[in-house]
Amino acid sequence: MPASGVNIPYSETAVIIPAYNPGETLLPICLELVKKKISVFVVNDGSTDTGMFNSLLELPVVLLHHSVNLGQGAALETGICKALSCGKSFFVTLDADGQHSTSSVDDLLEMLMQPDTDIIFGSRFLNKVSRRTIPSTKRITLKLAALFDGLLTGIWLTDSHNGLRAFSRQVAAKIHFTENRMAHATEILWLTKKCKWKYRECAVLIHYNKKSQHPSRSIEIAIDLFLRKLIS
Amino acid sequence: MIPIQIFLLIFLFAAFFLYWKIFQNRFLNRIVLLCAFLIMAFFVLYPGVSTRIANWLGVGRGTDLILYLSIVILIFVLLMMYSKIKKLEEMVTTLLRAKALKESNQKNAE
Repeated sequence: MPASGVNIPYSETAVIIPAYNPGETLLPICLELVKKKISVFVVNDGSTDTGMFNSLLELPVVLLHHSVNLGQGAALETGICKALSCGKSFFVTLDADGQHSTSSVDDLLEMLMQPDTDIIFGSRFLNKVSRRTIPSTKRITLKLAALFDGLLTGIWLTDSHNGLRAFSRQVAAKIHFTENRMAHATEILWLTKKCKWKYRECAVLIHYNKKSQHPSRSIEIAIDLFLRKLIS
Repeated sequence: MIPIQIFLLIFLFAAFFLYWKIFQNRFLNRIVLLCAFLIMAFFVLYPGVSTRIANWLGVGRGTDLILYLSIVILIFVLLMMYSKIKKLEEMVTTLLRAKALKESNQKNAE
């Protein structure tokens, strides 16, 4: 139970986990969430190694499969679609690689419960431990990406390329990515600006491991999207 | 006829026949292809004409004019290809999403 005593409606909450060749980390994440009576939606985004998903069959977890790898943005949208049709009211997105801790889900939801909030963005730079342990190359590229996103969308987040987000049903219904891959992080800011959603940032803990995305990718992704917006 | 003309004409002919085969049963495409081929062959055979057109347009040499034009056309074609690929990608995404939603393990959803 959170310190502020806000009641978190776990049963109305959907956690969406896009997974591409997930490691051992996926199962404990799902177990913890299921224990809280949260509905979990795992989207297998065309993984070549599907062994991990068989271990989820025993759990009350909704599994969705993309036949080929479409990208994280596309996987998120599929998960959101399914969760919407299951009548969920609150939505949290989470990465499968074990970088995010499930305790962050509580923090995000608690913040989302407050009046006048539509969407919460997780930020590793607001968390003391994450801020200290982040590799320096990753810090620089993430900061550059955030700067880029800020210039592009007018929404200045401390950590725009963070997979942890929480949002309401009203927001979920509007989410549609034209970018299948990682540029959806910028696209969601665009939507936030366009639909005038009330947003806040929440400190989250990030565990760093070897499997996570190479930091230079986030710059590449942002430039990709920028070029696309120029010509379309 | 100078060697470069022979080389270019052979290349043009080869490209023409390949496209002609691809555009089977597509009359309009074949007409456009034929026109494009004739224009290109004409400029290969009579390079002086392109220089006259270039001078009239304020460009020094005919080859420069053709270079500028081909860059513009190539960029245009690239953009068309890009938007086509993007459209295809969207179609694939829509299809696979519909399939994923249909085949999800509904029994586990509350």
